[in-house]
Amino acid sequence: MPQRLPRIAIVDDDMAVLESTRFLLEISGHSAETFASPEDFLEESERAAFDRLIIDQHMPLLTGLEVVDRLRARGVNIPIMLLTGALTPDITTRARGMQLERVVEKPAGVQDLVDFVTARA
Amino acid sequence: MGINDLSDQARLAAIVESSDDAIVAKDLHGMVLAWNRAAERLFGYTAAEMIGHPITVIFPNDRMTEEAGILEKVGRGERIEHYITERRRKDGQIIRVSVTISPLRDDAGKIVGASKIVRDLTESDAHEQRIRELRAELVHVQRLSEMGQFISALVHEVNQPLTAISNYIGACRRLAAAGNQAGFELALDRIEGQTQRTRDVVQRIRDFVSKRQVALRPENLSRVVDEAIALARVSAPDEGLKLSVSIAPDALVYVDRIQVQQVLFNLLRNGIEAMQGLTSREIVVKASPDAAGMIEVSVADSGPGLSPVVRDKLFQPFVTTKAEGMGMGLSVCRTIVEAHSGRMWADPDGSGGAVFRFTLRAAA
Repeated sequence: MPQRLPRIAIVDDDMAVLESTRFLLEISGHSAETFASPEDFLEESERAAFDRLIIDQHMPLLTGLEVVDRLRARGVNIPIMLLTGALTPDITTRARGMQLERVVEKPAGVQDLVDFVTARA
Repeated sequence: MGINDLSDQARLAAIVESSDDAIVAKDLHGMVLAWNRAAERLFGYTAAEMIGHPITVIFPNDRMTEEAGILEKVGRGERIEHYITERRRKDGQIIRVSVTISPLRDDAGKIVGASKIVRDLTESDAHEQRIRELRAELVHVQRLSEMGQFISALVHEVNQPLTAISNYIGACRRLAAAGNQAGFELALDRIEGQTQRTRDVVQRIRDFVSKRQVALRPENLSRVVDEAIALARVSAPDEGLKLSVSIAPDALVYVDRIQVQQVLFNLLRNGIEAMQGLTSREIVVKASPDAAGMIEVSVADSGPGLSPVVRDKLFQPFVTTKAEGMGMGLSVCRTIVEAHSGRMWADPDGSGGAVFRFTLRAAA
């Protein structure tokens, strides 16, 4: 179990959501790296692993679930929180198959975000 | 013996007998000379029952006078093509048919009668009706899907700033608790920015509703109403519903067809739903010029009428008594009518159902 602060990634194509989530986490004593592009995130995560991921489902080029799929295929088993604007049964089903820690409808509760980031691995 | 072995006459007779079209022949007094198998099927009378009898046996009472005109034309050697009329079957059923009539000549070339080919239009009428319904359904589905897509996009666009605001507010509480004034102010600035973003989205909704596709054109009101009715019938099928329309066939109005149809569609659906469960269900759509030279359209149902509670809120936005609320709401209908320089209102409580009226500009 790592003693350092967890390395957190936030992936969302909306700049305001990205920025405000990072802002909130930083105020709560965490640092987070933001990615508007899922491809950039995947590249960076190969270079140096992240400990936790908060990711949006509805993105234009790759959906959140598609990114998670690739991570899991690579053997990356970190806790992941999926945020979605509209939770459908389809998303719930696919999420279950990928061991997602949480699937939350936007806007996520502030405490949910902070708890997810601070929970022990 | 194959068909090639028959004499010419026998061959022609065989062709007539086996034709799917009803073929009959009559003399210049209107007496039936020939009656093929398809005619037996179409009219229900056998050849034995018809030959030697007047052709008018199959004419409905209100069509009797046609025969004289037909005989006169035929007598002059004229052909009548695809004449659409009605005939009566043996069982009394009236059918719409298309008739082609040619003079029958003897060997000397003298006109001795007429031969008629009668085609039953019932099936093609049914097809046309079905095509109208499908077209209305297609338009409806397109609008729903367009609407559905627009709504999803809206939900997404409202959710993003909302999420950001929620995050910044969470941050504000922590910043306030920590006494971090600068951070707090920054968060407030960000919240303000996102609020403006949401306002822009709301404005886009307003624009969409009131100004989308406003293309004013002279349109035939009767046709616009008929299409809206087809749409409403597809979307809320009701077999026993009586729908009557009283609109001058040549009345022209200056409107955006799609938008006015949305208004009519809404009023029709409201009426149909208000009358659910009643034994007598009728909607009457009328149009007539008003004192100011506009065309006043009314949609009246035979339902229970408007309760005082509902009447009070009638044109307020987002008020719906329906579980699904697929209609756009009377508030939007009024906005559309007003964008067309008209007015929309409901009649005061009367003895019958609800009556909604709106005015449109007359074109030419």
